[in-house]
Amino acid sequence: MSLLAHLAPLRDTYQRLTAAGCDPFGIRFDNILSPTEGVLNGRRVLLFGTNNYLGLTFDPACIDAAHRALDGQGTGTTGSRIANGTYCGHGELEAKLAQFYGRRSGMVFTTGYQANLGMLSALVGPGDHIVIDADSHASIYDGVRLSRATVTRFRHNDAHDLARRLGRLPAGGNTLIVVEGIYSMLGDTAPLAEIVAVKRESGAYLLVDEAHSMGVLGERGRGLTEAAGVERDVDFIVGTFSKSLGAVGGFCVSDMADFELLRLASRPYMFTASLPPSVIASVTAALERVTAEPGLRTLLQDNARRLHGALVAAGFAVGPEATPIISIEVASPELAIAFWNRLVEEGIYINLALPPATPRGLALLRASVSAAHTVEQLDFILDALVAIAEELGVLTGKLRAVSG
Amino acid sequence: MGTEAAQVADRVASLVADRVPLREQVTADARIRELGLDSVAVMDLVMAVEDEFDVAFPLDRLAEVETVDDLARVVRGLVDQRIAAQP
Repeated sequence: MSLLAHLAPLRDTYQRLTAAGCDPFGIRFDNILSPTEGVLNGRRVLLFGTNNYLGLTFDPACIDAAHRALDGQGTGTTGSRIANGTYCGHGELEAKLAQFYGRRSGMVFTTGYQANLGMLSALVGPGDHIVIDADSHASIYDGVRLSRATVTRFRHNDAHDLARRLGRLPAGGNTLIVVEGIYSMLGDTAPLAEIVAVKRESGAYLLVDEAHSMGVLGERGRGLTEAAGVERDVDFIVGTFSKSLGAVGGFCVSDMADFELLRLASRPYMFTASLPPSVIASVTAALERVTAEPGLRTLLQDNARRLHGALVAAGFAVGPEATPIISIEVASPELAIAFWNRLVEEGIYINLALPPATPRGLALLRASVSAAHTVEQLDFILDALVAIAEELGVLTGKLRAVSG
Repeated sequence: MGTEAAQVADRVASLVADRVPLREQVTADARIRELGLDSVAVMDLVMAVEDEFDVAFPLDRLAEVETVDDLARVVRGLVDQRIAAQP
């Protein structure tokens, strides 16, 4: 038997997925022109599937900082900080992140995925308990497995259900609750005030993953924790540099005593190379832009409300809140694939999200809005979505048969 | 003293049957992943089991579960632990 025989069901799914035209999960851009435009198969396309919330990937200050670090310190660190030492830029960025959040300590990881792996695996261990939201990101699911604590899930965004499940945990050990600021599939936010109330009652610790909400929510861009006014009750904030900050990497900030010891306990921190100096430099510059330009957040929120509101008015089934993640529910994966292919034909790239990566088995067309999108670009995608939805019968409920 | 085994098995089988396309395929030795449940559906089944029996079912215990009967056996153990822990 072939070693990869167990992947046969995946091959069948993949063949169905690609039969309609492009491969939605293997798309290859010829070039990227700006935060909102790229070239795909020789044609300009509008980018609505980037998570580039503040549009900082082409920010001149960020690019200039990266250039200087590249020229001055070379292409990479060639090792982990534990084994090969820390470049001063990494330490400075950690201090600036801690300052940005008003926390005592900060720690940088090489990706956002590793930030969750690194924190969750090191904060708790055998005999402890982790309770996670059922719609958590894959990095949370993988991180809690590495911890070897007992893991249970609570119903998505249901603080009452969280309380009930905390009450069922056997005595002994610490308990860590894990939620996200903005959930990546439907763009909905956690009911953080209610979750904090449950956390206080139970004596558990709370970690919030602000991957999609850092730089997006809160007066200073600190995320949902700031917007909900519960910063003092959140023990750990995890986030990423690959969305609002336009690069790659992850972090955690906290006021917890002995936080620095995690550097010697977190294997996903210890046993991987640290970020290249140029990435650290662009992220540091981007963090400064988040603070210096609150107008970017206003622009982003205006854009999100404009598209979300227009889609609701047009009769689309979208997520419950006007955050920069705007997902359209489509009746079946087949219809979602056909819709996605038509959008590419019209010069628009968005994300296709299918079960089991989605909640409740939903087939989703997922758009992420950027502060860099112009009103004309927002109107262009709206017009295309409406036209294709009418063509495929998405809005009428009379779904046209989609053939491969 | 164990929890009434047949009763737990029936209630577990019923929860599985509620979630699969063909109820009649749900037998004690049916493999859960072959009944048409993906990884998320299995975890949602665990949540339903937790609510039905008022227990915490840690996800790592799924490693012990291939068949409907395996699931019932883990649940029986968790219910027994809960009863034993009561004052």
